[in-house]
Formats: sequence, C-alpha cells, structure tokens
Amino acid sequence: MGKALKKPNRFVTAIFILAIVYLYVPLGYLVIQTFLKDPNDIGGGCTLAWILQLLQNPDLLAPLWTSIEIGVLSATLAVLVGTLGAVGLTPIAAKLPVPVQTLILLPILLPEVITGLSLLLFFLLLRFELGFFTVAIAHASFSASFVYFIVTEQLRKLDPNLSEAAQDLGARPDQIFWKITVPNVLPGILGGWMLAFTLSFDDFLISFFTSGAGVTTLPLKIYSLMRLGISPELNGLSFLMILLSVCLVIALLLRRESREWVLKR
Amino acid sequence: MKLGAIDLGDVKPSAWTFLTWLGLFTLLPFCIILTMSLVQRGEYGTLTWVPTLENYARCFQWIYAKVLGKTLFLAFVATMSCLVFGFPVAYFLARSTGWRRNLGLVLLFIPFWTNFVLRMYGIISLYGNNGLLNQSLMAMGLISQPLPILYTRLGVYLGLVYNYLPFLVVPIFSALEKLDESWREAAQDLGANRVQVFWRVVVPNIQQGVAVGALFVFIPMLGEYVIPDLLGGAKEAFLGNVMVSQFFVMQDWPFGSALAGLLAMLLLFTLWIQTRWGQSDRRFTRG
Amino acid sequence: MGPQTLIRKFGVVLAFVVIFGGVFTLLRSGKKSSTPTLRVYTWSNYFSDDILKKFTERTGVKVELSYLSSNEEMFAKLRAGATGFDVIQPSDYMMRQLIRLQMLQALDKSQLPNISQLEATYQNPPYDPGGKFSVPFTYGTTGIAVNTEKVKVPAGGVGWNLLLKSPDPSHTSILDDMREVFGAVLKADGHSLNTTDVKALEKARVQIAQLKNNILMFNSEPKALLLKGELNVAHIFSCDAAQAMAMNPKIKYFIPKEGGAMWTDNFAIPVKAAHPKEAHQFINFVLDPEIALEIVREKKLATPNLAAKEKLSPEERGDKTVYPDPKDLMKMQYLEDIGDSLQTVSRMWTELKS
Repeated sequence: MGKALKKPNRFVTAIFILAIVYLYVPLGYLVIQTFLKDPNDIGGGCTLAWILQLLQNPDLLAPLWTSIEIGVLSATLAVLVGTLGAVGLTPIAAKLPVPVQTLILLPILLPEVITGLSLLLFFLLLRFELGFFTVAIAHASFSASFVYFIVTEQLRKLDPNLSEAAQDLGARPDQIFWKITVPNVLPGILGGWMLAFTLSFDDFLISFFTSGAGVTTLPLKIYSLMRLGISPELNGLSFLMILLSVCLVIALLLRRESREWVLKR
Repeated sequence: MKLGAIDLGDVKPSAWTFLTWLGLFTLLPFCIILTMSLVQRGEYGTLTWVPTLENYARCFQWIYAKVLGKTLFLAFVATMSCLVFGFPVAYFLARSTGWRRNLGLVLLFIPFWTNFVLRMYGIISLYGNNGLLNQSLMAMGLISQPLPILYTRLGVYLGLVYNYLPFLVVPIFSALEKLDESWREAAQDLGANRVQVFWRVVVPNIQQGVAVGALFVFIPMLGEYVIPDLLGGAKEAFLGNVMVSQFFVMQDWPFGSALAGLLAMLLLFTLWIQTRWGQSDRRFTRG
Repeated sequence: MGPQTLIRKFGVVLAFVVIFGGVFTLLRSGKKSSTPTLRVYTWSNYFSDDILKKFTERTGVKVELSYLSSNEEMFAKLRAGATGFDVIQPSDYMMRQLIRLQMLQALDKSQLPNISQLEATYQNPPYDPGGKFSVPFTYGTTGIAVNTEKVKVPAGGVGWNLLLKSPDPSHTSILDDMREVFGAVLKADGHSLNTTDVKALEKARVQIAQLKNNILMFNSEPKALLLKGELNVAHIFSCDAAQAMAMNPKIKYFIPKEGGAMWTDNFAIPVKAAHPKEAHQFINFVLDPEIALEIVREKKLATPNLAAKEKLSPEERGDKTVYPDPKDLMKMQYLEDIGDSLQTVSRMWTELKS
C-alpha cells in the first residue's frame, strides 16, 4: 500500500463546491419558498401555513402512500429475483455468452422511453389491467439488474477460502450457504433493496406509461400539479422530502458511528 | 448439454429464475416493439398485420435524421459537460478520506432522494424569467431584461447536467479509487512532473471506467423526454419526444416502434464498440 | 447429490413458481377493493373532492380519478386495449373518432333521468346525433388570454395577430395542440378551421415555423404561468382563462375577431367498462342541477344544464368568457374530421417541432 493520499488541491475543491451549490440552490430555493407567505416575494413574511396545509392534503398524501407501496413491492421483487440471479450466475459469470450479458445489462442501459413504451405494449397486448401491479412489475424489471450487479460484486469479494475452509471442517453446502454466504452478502442485498426502492420512488417516465386508472404515484401527481401551478404545496413537499432524506442519512451514519464506537470498546 | 463454454446442467434454478424474469419483462416487450415496427399502420392507429420495412425507411427521412442528429449532439455536449464537471468532483471524492469523503458522497446524493419531478420544478423556479436568478440579477442592476434561460436549449442542458452528474461521478470515482497509489509515486520518483503523472499514469488506467460511465449517461440522454418537454418549452422535439408523440399523438405505433428499435440498435452498437475497444486496451491492470 | 442439495434446489424452484405465479395472478386481477370503485378518466381541475364525496355519500360508490393530458393520449390507451376506465371525458372531435370506431357504449337513457335538464341543443350535438353515446359536461372556446397590466390590447380589437405577431414574444405561449395551432393560423388567413386545401395548409406551416421563434413556449395549460407573470399573452382554452381571471382580474380573455374553435367536453362510457351501472349513476349525478351548479360555480365552467343555468346570477350568466356572446359564437367552429389531411398536418407538426 502506498503512502497516505495527498489532500485534493484547491481547484478541485472549488469545483466540487460549485457542483454542490449547483445541485442545491434550486432545492434550497424551494425550501425557502415553503416558509414564505407569498412564494414570489422574498420580502414578504414567513409562515408555517403551507406546511400545515400540505400535511392535511389528502390529495398529496394518497399518492405518497401509493409510491411507498409500489416502492416496497418492486424493491422486494427486484431483490428476490436479482439475488437469485447473482447467486446462480456468479460461478459461471466469466463464461456467460455475450448475448446473455447484454440481456442482463439491458434494463439498466435502455433509455426509459423504450422500457416504458415496450412494457406498455407488453401489458396491453397480454390484456393485463394497467394499474398498481403493472407499475410495480415495471419498476422491478429494471431494478432487478441493479441488484444483480451489486450482489455479484459482493459475492466476488467474498473470500473463497472461507467456504473452502468450512468445507474442510465438514460443513454441508446449505450450512455454508446460510452461515457464510448470506451474512456476507446481506449488506449488498440491503443496499440493493434501498437502491431499488429509491429508483422506484423516484421514477416518473415508466410510471407515466404503465399506470392506469386510479393509480397515481407521487411523481405523477407532482407533474400534474406543476402544470396547474399550485406551487406552495409543492415547495412544502420538497422541504419534507429533503428533511426526510437528511434524517435518513443522519440515522444511517449514526448507526455506523455507534457500531464503530461499540467495537472500539 | 453444452452452450458455448457452459454446461447447461451447471446452471442452477436460481439463475434460471433471473433469466426467465429478464426474458419475460425485458426481452419479450422489446421483441413486441420490434415486431410492431415491422407492420403497417392502419386507419386511426390500428394495425394491419402487413409486414413492411417502410417504417424504418421513414426513420431516415431528412426530418427524422435531423432529430437524431440534434439528439446525438445534445447528448454529446451534455455528457461532455458532465465529464468536465464530474471529473474534478470524482477526483475530490477519491482524494478525500474518512468523514470528508462520506460527507461528499452523501451531499452529492441527497438531492436524488427528493423527486425527479420536484428537482425539475426547482430548476424552473430558479431559472425562469421570473425566477430567483433573474430576479436577483435584476435587483442587483446587472441586467435589465430577464435572461432567457428556461424554455431554451440552455435550459435543457442545465436540466440534463443537473440530473446526470452524479451518475457520471460514481464510475469515475470508482475507477480513481482502484488506481494504485504506488504507481504514481513510482512515476514521480522517476522524475515525472504532476502533468506527466496525470496523463501517462492516471488517465490510461481510468479510461475504461470513465468510458463506461460516459456511456451510462450518454445513452439514457438520447432517449430523454421529460427534460426537453418541461425545460425546453416543448419547442424542440428530440428523439424521445418524437417517439412518444408517435404513440400518443400521431397514433402511429409502428413508426414509433421503429424509432425505438433504431435507438436500441444504436445503443447495442455503441456497447459493442466499447467492449471491443476495452478488450484491446489491457494495460496496467492490477495483477 | 445429497438430500440437502435436493431440498435447496426444490426450495429455489418453489420460489420460482411462487414469484411467477404471484406476478401473473396480480397482473390479471388488478387491485380490487370491496366496494365498487368507479374509475373516471378526466381533465385535471374539473372535479373537486367535495363533489366526489357527495357522490359517494349518495350512492355508496367510491370514485378514483385519473388525469388526462390530451385526447390523443386517452385514445391511444383505449385503442390499445386498456380496460379499467368506466367514464371518460373526450372532447367533441375525439367523440367522432370514438363513435366511428365503435369504442363506446350506447348510453341507457333510462338510467339518466336528469338528462332532460340539458339544453335542447346539447341533447343532440352535431358530433353525436341524438346524444346516443355522450352527455356534454361543459363547453367553451379557444382564444387568447392577455395580462392587460403588462400588455396593451390593440385599439382595433383583438385578432389572432396578437398571438401570431405578439408585442411581447418572450412572454407568449401557444397551445401544444396541432389542430388548434393550425386552426388559429388558418383562421387568421380567412380559411376554415377544417380546410383540407393543401396550399392553405402549407402557408400555415410556414407561418407557424416563423412563429416558433417568436414565442416562449408551447403550453396547453398556461394558467399557472399567466398567474405567475411568466406569460402575458397566451393561447388558451376559455375554461382555463376563466379560472385565471378569477384569481387576477387584470387578465382578460378575448375571442379573436376572425373567430376560432369551440369545443365541448363530454362524458362517455367505453365499450369494455367494468362498472357501467355506476358510470351511469355518476353521469346522472353530475346532471343534477344542484350539483351542476356547484361545479360550475367553483370551477367557472360553462354548463349545458338549462336548469342549473337558470339558477345563475345575471353576473355569472353575463360572463362573456364562460358564456360567449352569441355574436362571437357565430364565428366559431367545431374541429371536424379532416380525413387524410390529418396525416399531412401531423407530419407538418412533427417537422415544426423538430
């Protein structure tokens, strides 16, 4: 291993900060607008009214719930299928013919328009009712490959010596599987689940194509609201979502910190 | 039974599950689109099951070739912009350690846990004619008329870079991370200056990673529909917009499918080129 | 191959079967609830929650709304076989197409006692003789909304040139609608909205190509941006204009002197609707004069419901945006089927947008 890394120089740091600013200003502006009495007028006073209105608005809470439900369902499906694939294909991954490798990559690479349109046609031609489950399946269809890659990476990092050693000590294949493979792959599986959930929750275009009567996900609702220009509640929504993700991140970091703290004792 | 280098008996059921899933929900729908691209359109958007290549022929008409050209250019410039900004960002993250790096990564991704549409809404609020940017610049007296950013191609670029930057940063960051520090030091010990170290040691080794990252950003951009629609004022139709309008406005599903098919083939071709180029370029891989 | 391996393989195959079996059952069934749910595919901003709640109270049927952004999108999904919609809201020209392609159920007038409340003309509209398949919900015109605080209205009256040669191009928008935009240009030139004259269409195309460089955007729902001040001159549907005007009296709606398009949004029931009985109940509910009155008051819509109209105040009935002056109405036309020219116009539109 080499010596310690040099700290990044000022130029690079500057660009990084610039990038972060670029990413955060639009969102920050929305958050500030949440608390303004008149969203268009920065000079005007502050208010919590918009947030309160938002929390009581069933019109926005219902799609939020739908998005969460779909996210959970599709993430779980994706993880099931993707993990099975990773477990099954890793031993022969190097020998996989190119068409198969491409097939696995396809859901990730294909532009969403094509995935969305093709799934729409698929569902319609087979007379599947467009709705809740079509959206969930559509989301799972592209998430599964992501999970596959994440879990495959984890499996690859898994030290083969461990399972060999276990075998030498007399462990049966399923014991090896449950006591060695799974615990080591679990972080990857969880990470994959979170990624799949995020992708589903965030998805707009594919939901747009595959949703049917009565199924409105949060992004779809926001899109239709945007066209009507009901801004204050959307501002409030952005604030809540940023708050939520920041809390989530803090929670995750705290958990890691506390574990390390425990380990150090 | 053997298929290439693989003995099919070795393929476990778990693998078959995954492959069947892919076959059913990725391959089959794709084949449906391909089939549809090969039939003729009937009245009012019905299908006559008459095989034809005319849909593909239409793709090469001047107006559609123009759209494709425009889209390729748009995606190329946007990808390059992401690269120009993304590289320093990835570099920063790769060279940071511990809490700084984690914080950086987290900061980069928090906006993505809000919603795609909300992010677009934020951009519209910021860059619109009456948005924060213009209002501030006018209040400061720097400009007298609002700058037309939104609803122009510039707006589309801003939106694209905003959305795709983190996705380019991650592969570059990965590649930089894997770079062995000792090679740099070796080069420096041998008398190379910083610039030479960069071009002769860093770049060749991360080329592969950067190219893959760029591809993962370039290809989805080709099919972008929402960003040109929302941020471009729907004034310019790119490939994604034209494709969707074939389905929802023009009632010409076969032609829309042909456009989709063409895009997919373009994609596969690009992938193929990238793998060939990658294979012929095996230097300094960690042994 | 020991027993443990066998069990493992079996477990995996079981998972396989469960996943796919489950997936297919779910896809087939859709999400069903115990009480019948009516699925209405409508334009955004027509029905408020209160109205829907009233319906549920009266009939016990829940309503789920899905939002349309265009007639063509609705048509495409229906055409491809999307079931699941019980009530749809096509505009007049789309009605013609749907009827011609036999995609709608004939309405059972016995389940619609309130239909007698409609004005006579609306019981027998030109696009659906005898009103066999549709019940009009609201009607209006397409014109120009102007923020009179920012843009001065020309002294000689408003013509399409206010839009086509706008004095404020960076705050001007036109509808993202092929027929409407071509219609505006054709009317400005003195042609009919539905002309199939190739020369006229070609001239219109050239004009629109130039127009594209003198507007801010294409937008079919400019209300929000008008209110925000991002737009001062907008090609707009009268119902959206009326709602904008209610929020900002400085915004005024004009029907250009050359005339333009008028439209009607209707209720219809697709052939394969799952809940036709409840669909009829819903339509009948909206035809109830009390309900119609409430809806139009809240959303500033024009109502074809005679009984409801009579209950309006003179002010409301005199609102020219919502209820156009008969003089103006004479100049308006319905968008009609232009047959094969539609393909020509479509290709021109694609070219224009590229």
